[in-house]
Order: sequence, then C-alpha cells, then structure tokens
Amino acid sequence: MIRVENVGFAYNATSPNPIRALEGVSLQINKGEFVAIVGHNGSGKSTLAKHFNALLLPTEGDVWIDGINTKDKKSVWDIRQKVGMVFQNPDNQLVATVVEDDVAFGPENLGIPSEEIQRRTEEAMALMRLTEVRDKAPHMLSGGQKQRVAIAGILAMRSDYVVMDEPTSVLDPLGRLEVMESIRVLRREGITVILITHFMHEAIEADQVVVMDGGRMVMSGSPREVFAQADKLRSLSLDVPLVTQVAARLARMGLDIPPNVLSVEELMEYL
Amino acid sequence: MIIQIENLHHTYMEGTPFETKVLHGVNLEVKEGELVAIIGPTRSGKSTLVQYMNALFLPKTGRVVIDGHDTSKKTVDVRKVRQTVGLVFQYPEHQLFQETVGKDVAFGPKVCGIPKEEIDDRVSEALDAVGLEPKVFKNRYIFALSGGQKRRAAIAGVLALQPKVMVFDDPTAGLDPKGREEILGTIRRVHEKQGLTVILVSNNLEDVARMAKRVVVLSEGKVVLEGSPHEVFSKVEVMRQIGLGLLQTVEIMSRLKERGFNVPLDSLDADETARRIFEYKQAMKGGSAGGAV
Repeated sequence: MIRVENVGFAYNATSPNPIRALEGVSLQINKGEFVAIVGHNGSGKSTLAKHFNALLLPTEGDVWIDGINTKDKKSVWDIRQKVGMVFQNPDNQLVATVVEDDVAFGPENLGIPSEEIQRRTEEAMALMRLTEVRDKAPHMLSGGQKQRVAIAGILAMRSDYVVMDEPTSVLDPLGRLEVMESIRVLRREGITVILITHFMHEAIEADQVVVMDGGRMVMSGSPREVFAQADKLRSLSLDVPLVTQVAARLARMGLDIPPNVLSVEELMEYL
Repeated sequence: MIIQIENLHHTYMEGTPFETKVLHGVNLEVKEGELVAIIGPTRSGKSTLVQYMNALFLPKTGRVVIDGHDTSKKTVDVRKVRQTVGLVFQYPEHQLFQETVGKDVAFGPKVCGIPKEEIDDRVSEALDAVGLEPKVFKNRYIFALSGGQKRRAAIAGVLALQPKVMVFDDPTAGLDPKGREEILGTIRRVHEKQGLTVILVSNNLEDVARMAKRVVVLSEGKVVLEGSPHEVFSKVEVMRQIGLGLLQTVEIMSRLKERGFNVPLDSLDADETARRIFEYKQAMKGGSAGGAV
C-alpha cells in the first residue's frame, strides 16, 4: 500500500525563492489498484509521481511505501525495487543495445543468480509480447514497443508498483493502445498501476481517479463519480471522456441518458 | 501547385544488409494556401517524406518540385527550397540555443543576411504570429518559458524566415491539452491570417480531424487514402488494417453500427456525433410509427 500523508513539496526549498509544487496532498493507493492521476501541466501530477519512488522527498508530510518511509535513506533501493517508473519518452529510458539485455538490466544490478535473471527476463518478455523482437536493437522498435520494453524491465525487477508518467503522450495511436493493453496485463499480474495522464479516456478503466490542480488534489473518486462533474473539470481546463461528452449532449437534446456514461456499451443501453 | 511529388522512392542504407525501403512511389500534390494533414502509423514514411519537402533529401527515383524548383535536378538551389519551405521538426524546442527568445528567433534571418532593422520587424511579426506578445517575450530567457511557449518560440524562429509553406512534424506531441490548444491556434493563425500553406504531420487523429481540409494517409511508404477528414476517417477497415486505429468519435459510431444501429460513421466531434445519434433515433421513431400504419 502507498500512503501519501499531507505532503507538501517545494522545488529549491532551501533557496530564498522556493517554488511550491504540492500542497497538503493525502492519498491512499491499495495493492492491485489502478489509479489515474490527471491534471494539466504545472498541476503537480508529475511532482507527485516522483514521490512514489523517492526520486523526490516531501518538504512536508510523509510518503509510505508498504510501511517504509521514503525519507529513510537506507531503504531507498528497496523502494526503487518495489516501485518502477515508466517515463514519457521511451528513448530516454532504454540503456542496452538489444531488447533482451535491456529487460535484464534491472535484475542484473540486484545481484540475482543468472538462471533466475534468465527466467525473469523470459517471463517479462512473454507478458509484454517482446519475445519475437528480443534480439532487436531498442532504437529500431516502435514507440509502443519501446514502452513495453520499459515495462518488461520493471516486471523483471518484480516490482509491486508501476508508476507511468504520461507514457502515451508521444506515441502514435497504435502505441497508445499497446500501452493501455500492457496496463491490463499488469493488473492481471496483481501489480498496482499509477498512471499520470492528460488523456481522460485512459482513466475510464481506473479504480480511482485523482484530479490535481495548482499542486492540490481537487477531486478524487471512481471514474463515474469524477466524470459526472463535467462542469467542474472544465473549470480546471480538463475534459470528460468523449463518450461521456456525447451522452451529455444527447441528454441536453432530450434523451433520457445519465450524465456519467463511461462506455459505448453503456450508452447503447439508453438508446 | 506549390508542392508536387511524383513517384518518389526512398531506401535507407542502400546497398547494406540493413537496407530498408521506406517510400514506394509516393504521389502527392499540394496547392498554395492548402492545409493538408499527413497521417500514418510509425514507420509509414511520414518523416522521410517531409524531409524531401525542404530538400534535406534529394530524390534519386521520382520527382519533387517545390514552388517551381525541381529538386531532382543537379542545378537546383537547395537554399531557395529551404527558404520556401520551413520545417518544424518534432520537439523543435530542443533546438532553441540562444539566451533569449528574441535572439533565438533572429538567428535564422541573421544567418540569411537580412538587414538588422528588417530582422527586428520579422522577429516581432513572428512572435505575434505564435501568440507570444513581442514586448513581453522578446527579452525573456528561454529557460523561463513553459513547454508550450518554448515550442511556439521555436516555431517563430522558422516563421521569421518567411517561408511560403510550413511543415509541422507532430507539433503537439507530449503537450498537455492547454499547450496543444496553443499550438493548434498558432497553426490556424499562420494558415488563415498569413495565408501560408501548411502541412501537418500528426499522430493525433483528433487534431487532424479539427484542423485539416484534406488528409493523406501513408502506410508502408505508400499513399493508401486521401480525401476530406469525413471521407478518410470513415474508412474504418483501412484505418484499422494499417494499424492507425480510429478517431474516438468514429470508434463510437462503428461500435454502435456493429450492434445494429444504422448510424453514419463519418462524424468528427462530440457535437456531430450526438446530432447524428439523435437524428437516427428520431428517424427510427418516425420509421416505426410509419410501419405500424
């Protein structure tokens, strides 16, 4: 479980001009949950994400990962093993010259016996459908494949949590679908997924949606609860998923449709 | 025709074991003043194609004529072509290198030998065009800009060269909704107010549906579809087959259709989608009433 307790954060906290990025954020993420954190740039969502694996430490408050405080310096490598990160641009996070070596890179640094590394690498590549491209150079892969390599590396680390910071925002449409499919695979494996995104439709399948604005958590709840508040989201210059927008318009035209429809299947029930 | 591409082929690393064909006989014409979008999955040849538009590549097979300059001819003046076509690469903000916005935008015209007074005018005009108030932003440090502002500053640097054609390679990649609106607004202004021809290469189908008058779809180095956004985005099978996926609105419509709702597929935004579903419902009501008589 991840617990964020009343966290405040300032960049350059000790300088005369600190830049406040988080204010009083409290949040609990249970094992196996899929949590989407949405908000526009500058809302604090990426700053918050970097707190989940001790890349940043709170200026005020605490972050606990399975009971370990991220401020505990001795535990930083434990925390980073537990919580893997996938970044926006896949080109910035691949290190090896072939796919297989890249997937194995993390566990190799844990000092695990080589048969075990081999087993984990095979398993991770199979789950991320990379076995066919195992001998390819990562830079020859598509954007979606590169992100899958990054995720496979985390699987090979046996991390319990995966934090993805806008993993689809530089991908083509197919790549975006690949990443969303990978999230479903991670969930089946019982891994907790925290997705930072500004694409609202990617949050539809989440258990919990957290909306950030100006460093504060301004909304949270199930997608159904959050996306029912279209006006409030719009006031934060965010939108609701397209199917929800269509449903809202149909309701205004006089059809009997609730304001928090989240899928085409659901929409059809009211037509 | 400001851009004329005929039977263009391109092979990377020709004659090596890594030889890869990326363009297989592309034909494309763009009229002056058009806004054309080029879409296609990763590796369809989009980025290669646009590099022919400002003579970064010169054709070995086929012909590329830019505003009368035939780049397949040995005698072609590539500088003329590059002055005609401004190319804004992916992540253009990575190419900002001067201290201030004004200096960076002035760099291109300076290198081209434009007189100082004219450079100042061009810088102000270009910053205006991208929505960065010259008075405020000219002396601002690059590092003090937001992501979207940096990208617009980089676009201003290309505009200051006063090209006739602007090519944008995936201009909204990695931006949040607000940054995306700013960039799309800039492209619209450049197209409508300054009358420039715009080629928009994009991975974002939603952007293309909103912006383009004509859409060209590339797949495996060939043009596989071409037409208005309504025509192109409603070709559900082709779009799926080449791995491009569907516009969200078309996805909604095609799934309704699969379940027996006979709605048209070619709807590009939430308003149009809702209206068409509503009209379908009304027609069904009318139809069933008629059938009962």
